[in-house]
Amino acid sequence: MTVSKTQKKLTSGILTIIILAICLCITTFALIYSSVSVDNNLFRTGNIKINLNDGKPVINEHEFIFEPGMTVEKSFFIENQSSWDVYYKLYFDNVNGDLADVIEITVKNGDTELYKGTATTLSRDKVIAADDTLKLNEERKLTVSFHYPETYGNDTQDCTLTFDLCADAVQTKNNPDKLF
Amino acid sequence: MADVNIKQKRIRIAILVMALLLALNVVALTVTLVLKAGKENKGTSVSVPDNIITSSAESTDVSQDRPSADSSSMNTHDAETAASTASGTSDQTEEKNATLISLYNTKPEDNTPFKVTNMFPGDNETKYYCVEVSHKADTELFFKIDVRDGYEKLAEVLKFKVTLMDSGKVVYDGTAENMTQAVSRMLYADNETSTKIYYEINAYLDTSVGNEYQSKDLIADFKWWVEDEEALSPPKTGDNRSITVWLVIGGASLLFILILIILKKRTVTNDEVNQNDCQ
Repeated sequence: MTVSKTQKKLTSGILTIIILAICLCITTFALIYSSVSVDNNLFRTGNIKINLNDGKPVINEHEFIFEPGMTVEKSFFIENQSSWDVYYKLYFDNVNGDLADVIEITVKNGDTELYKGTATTLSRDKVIAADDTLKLNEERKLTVSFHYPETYGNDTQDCTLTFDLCADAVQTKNNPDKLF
Repeated sequence: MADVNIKQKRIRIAILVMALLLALNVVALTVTLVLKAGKENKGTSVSVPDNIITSSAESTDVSQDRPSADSSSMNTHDAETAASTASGTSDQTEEKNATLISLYNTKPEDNTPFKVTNMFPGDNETKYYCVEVSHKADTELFFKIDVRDGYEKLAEVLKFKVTLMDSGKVVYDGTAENMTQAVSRMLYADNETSTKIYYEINAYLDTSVGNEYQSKDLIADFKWWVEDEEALSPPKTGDNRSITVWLVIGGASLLFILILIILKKRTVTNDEVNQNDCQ
């Protein structure tokens, strides 16, 4: 029994020595290892995010029945939720209906006209960036007006126009040519 | 039975010695870390004159060509002079800050890490590092950027341009992901010397980087090392603080051991006195 206890003590002693030796080696290595380092170099990219009217349509179905000479003006907003100032462009996508080439659309910032054309001509590939920039966290109220020219006659009766109003944005930083 | 006792005694002594050594190491490591943390805020730095920056077109293969006798033992002054000579201009007075880190056999000093947030395509950020190596023979200084696990996405497009400023040689220009091998710089010495190597590290994003890399992080460690540790030597001159630290640690340890021995002797003496009294 005593011998067994002594053996146990010896074994535990040897184990302790081994553990201590390993710890000693590790800490000594950590002390004398010939290297230097600059740790935790952090690189983080920014982001571009635009809120266009909370995703709500600017004009709803059956809200108006257009007649020649009629103009409807609606307001909406665009908000820069990015981490930098942005250039933006507004365009019409998924355009359908015979009124696509008829209804004259004008987008304004106050009195400044940003875009003018039809739903067909104001497509993504045809519009350029708006002249102004959206600052960080800026929310801008814009208006869009839809005008049914008087010149059109009965051939455009019972026609429709459906579209998605979209916005693209790109950072102003390192982008003097406003490339999207 | 006596053998066993002797063995046990020896084991106890071994454990005590090793525990003491371990404790010393832990204390030393702690002090080193504390000093390191303290210096991070101060940003140990040396001034790098603007005119030592040379274009890549003027680069020469410094890693292979042995320098002339004049610059084979390049100390601080030599390094700056050589660098100034390489540029050929000295009119520019604007100075850039380079962080000095040292690569001694036991004395690593810390450096200021990059912290670039809100990066966009076309952005670039440059930092300067100075690695001081005390060595007594020819050796090779290696440098590598290690991207930490979990940050591989941005590493696909974030590029680094590593320039040896004394020669203007671009030793690496590519994405962090593709830096699989270390870049090296040969250091020459016939006797004990201290060589300072200035690195210009430029991190940049190409303008073509797409939307999928928005709001991404990358954490990387910059590492310099030498493999031939035999060639290293303790620094001759420079900051004496580390020597002082080691002296303080050594003194404290000796004092601690002395106190332990004295306490043990006193305990043994008291026990003997008590035993004699009992008898």
